[in-house]
Amino acid sequence: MSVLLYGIVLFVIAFFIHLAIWKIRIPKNQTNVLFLIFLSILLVGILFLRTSSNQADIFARVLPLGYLKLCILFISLTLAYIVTYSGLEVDSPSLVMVMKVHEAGPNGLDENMLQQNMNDDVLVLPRLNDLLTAKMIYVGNGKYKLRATGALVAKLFVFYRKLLRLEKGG
Amino acid sequence: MTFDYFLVFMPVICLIINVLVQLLSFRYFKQIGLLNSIYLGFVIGILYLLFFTSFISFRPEVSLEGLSDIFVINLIGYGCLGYCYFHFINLGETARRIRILRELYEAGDGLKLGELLNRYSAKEIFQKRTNRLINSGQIIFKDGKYYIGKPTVLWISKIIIALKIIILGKRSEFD
Repeated sequence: MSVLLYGIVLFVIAFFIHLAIWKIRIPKNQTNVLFLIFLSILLVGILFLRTSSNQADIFARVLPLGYLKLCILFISLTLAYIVTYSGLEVDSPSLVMVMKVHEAGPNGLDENMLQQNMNDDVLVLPRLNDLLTAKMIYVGNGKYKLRATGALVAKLFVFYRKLLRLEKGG
Repeated sequence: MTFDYFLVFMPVICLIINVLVQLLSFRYFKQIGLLNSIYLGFVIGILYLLFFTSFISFRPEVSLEGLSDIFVINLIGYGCLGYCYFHFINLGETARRIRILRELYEAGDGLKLGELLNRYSAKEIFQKRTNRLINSGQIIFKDGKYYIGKPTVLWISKIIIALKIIILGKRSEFD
């Protein structure tokens, strides 16, 4: 089995295992659990390949450094999926707004109706709670403060947006 | 052996080229626009992928079958990495969590909820999003009412909702 086919098969297996777990219960820290599932499947897949000598021979013949190639392919697919998944976890305000306008039909949607429910309780506070759950921030002396991981992520984006000479996003 | 590693890491090398082209083109030719600079970087990365693949086709140890395998695998790998880079830039541009982290980082000693909402609130989010959607023609504002313009974001919304139902079993995080 070639690296491509094997990589895709492993990815599909990992995806269905993730789907099955999600049907039972959606974990609290979804991204971390996703990483864990996908990387575990990659590891099991490589171990299976190593123990099955016939497949490993074919595998090694197709490409030099086949295992490393498999890892890069699988990790690329996993990262692309996790990045897409982060867009599913939470409601994007832009997408919600477009759906509201669409659902209003050809008569259009009144300005005030669109703004309805678009308040801090819906748009800002849930994201603050996400950051608390992900342990990127904490509450100390009545203030929201950054933890080390949160500060690292913030620094990365501040640096990159300075590099691109862009203003604050959001 | 070095050649073998070059084959394996080709998607990563092309991603680096993509990032450099995007960064330099946007930084020094601002009129190109952020989205176009991302497209440009991605396309240049693919061209390098093609160039590197055609370069290795001259090596006697690589068969035609092996070459097509290498190209397809590298193309998928590079496509995924390029997609991740696009999302990375998009996160800095639109993600609320990143903006909150930035505000806390810039404040230094943390922020009370009221202070945070003074810096970044639903009002700002709403205004920015409606402006973006109107400027890109996705929605049209006429006589105090909003209408659907181009259908691109609408289609994306429908796909996202379908995926949410399949994976999460609900349409919205508030269901």
